[in-house]
Amino acid sequence: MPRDLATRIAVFYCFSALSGAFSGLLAAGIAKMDGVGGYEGWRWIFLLEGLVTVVLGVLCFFLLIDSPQLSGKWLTQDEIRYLELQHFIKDGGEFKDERKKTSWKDISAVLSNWKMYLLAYILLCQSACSYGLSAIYPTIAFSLTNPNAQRYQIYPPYLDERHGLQGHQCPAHDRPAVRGRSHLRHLLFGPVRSLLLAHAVRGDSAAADCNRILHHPRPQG
Amino acid sequence: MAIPLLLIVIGYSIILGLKGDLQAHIGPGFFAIILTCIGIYPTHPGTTSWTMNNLAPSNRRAIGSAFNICVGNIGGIIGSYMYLDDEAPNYPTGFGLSLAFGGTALIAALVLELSFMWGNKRREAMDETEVREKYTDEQLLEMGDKSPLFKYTL
Repeated sequence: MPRDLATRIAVFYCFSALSGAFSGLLAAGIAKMDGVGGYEGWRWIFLLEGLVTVVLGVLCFFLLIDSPQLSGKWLTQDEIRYLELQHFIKDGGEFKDERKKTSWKDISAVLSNWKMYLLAYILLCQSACSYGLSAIYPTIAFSLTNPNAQRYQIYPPYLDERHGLQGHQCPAHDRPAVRGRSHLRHLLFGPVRSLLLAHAVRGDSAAADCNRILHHPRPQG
Repeated sequence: MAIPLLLIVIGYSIILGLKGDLQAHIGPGFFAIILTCIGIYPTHPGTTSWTMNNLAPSNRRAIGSAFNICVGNIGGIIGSYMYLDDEAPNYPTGFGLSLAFGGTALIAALVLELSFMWGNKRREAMDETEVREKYTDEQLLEMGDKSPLFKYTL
């Protein structure tokens, strides 16, 4: 239903962000299988994680349903009807089954659309910058000789932005009165955290403690 | 759309200006990196949602969004090889390319936004009943996003 859509999308993206957090830990654990069965540790990482992904991919084909009518158990009749009507309207007044399958004409219509290439180019630039940044970030982090600073680099600040934005903002967007508040909260906290981190980097221990409390609100140790 | 890309451009230009001497300029260097991060991450969902909203009907939307993501991920290949080892600590190729990507993506986003606004204006000038008389429903569906009834999302 539309009022839950933002929350669901946020949960989806949060899981993807969490997977990034867990991947390091998982890789460290699997790497200890060095030598088992004649394969090095890093090969086992690829094997195990790839196997799980492939199995899940195949299962998706069978488990993901094709239309709201087949959902059965978790949607009520009203909700099924609502979703069908929504599809009907979005498709411009035709049921999906009535239209013929994807034809070459559709594909060529998409490929000959110059706007598609521009949009794909923007995404290309963005992912190039993003991968480059994750490549260069450890180098920058370890070029700081202050040992306190190095410790705080291990949890990059930008992940915080993403977590914060997705985890807090999207559920808040479902309740219209609260939308503006969450925007404001993140506009304020983002730069504050960054400033504190910049100070911590220079060895200011008070700022480092503030930063630790903001990042990890529960007591440590 | 344009604001995050603008932040990327600003961030990378600051880093390039520091010319690799990060030890002495930790504050601005770090600030610049955070600016670029703030710019990079919103761009992806923004672009994807733009693509999906501006294609019709649903067949073309599916093909279009898949195509978009495929070509977009080629950027990842470029990004992983941009920063060459023998250029430490300046990395002019890496940061320079990132700056160039940010700048051209900004130009592309502005061009697209202008073309969508122009397209919308042209359609508002047309009257709906006239359009329905000229084309049948089939033809309107075929035209997809070029049809006079389709409104671009900004």
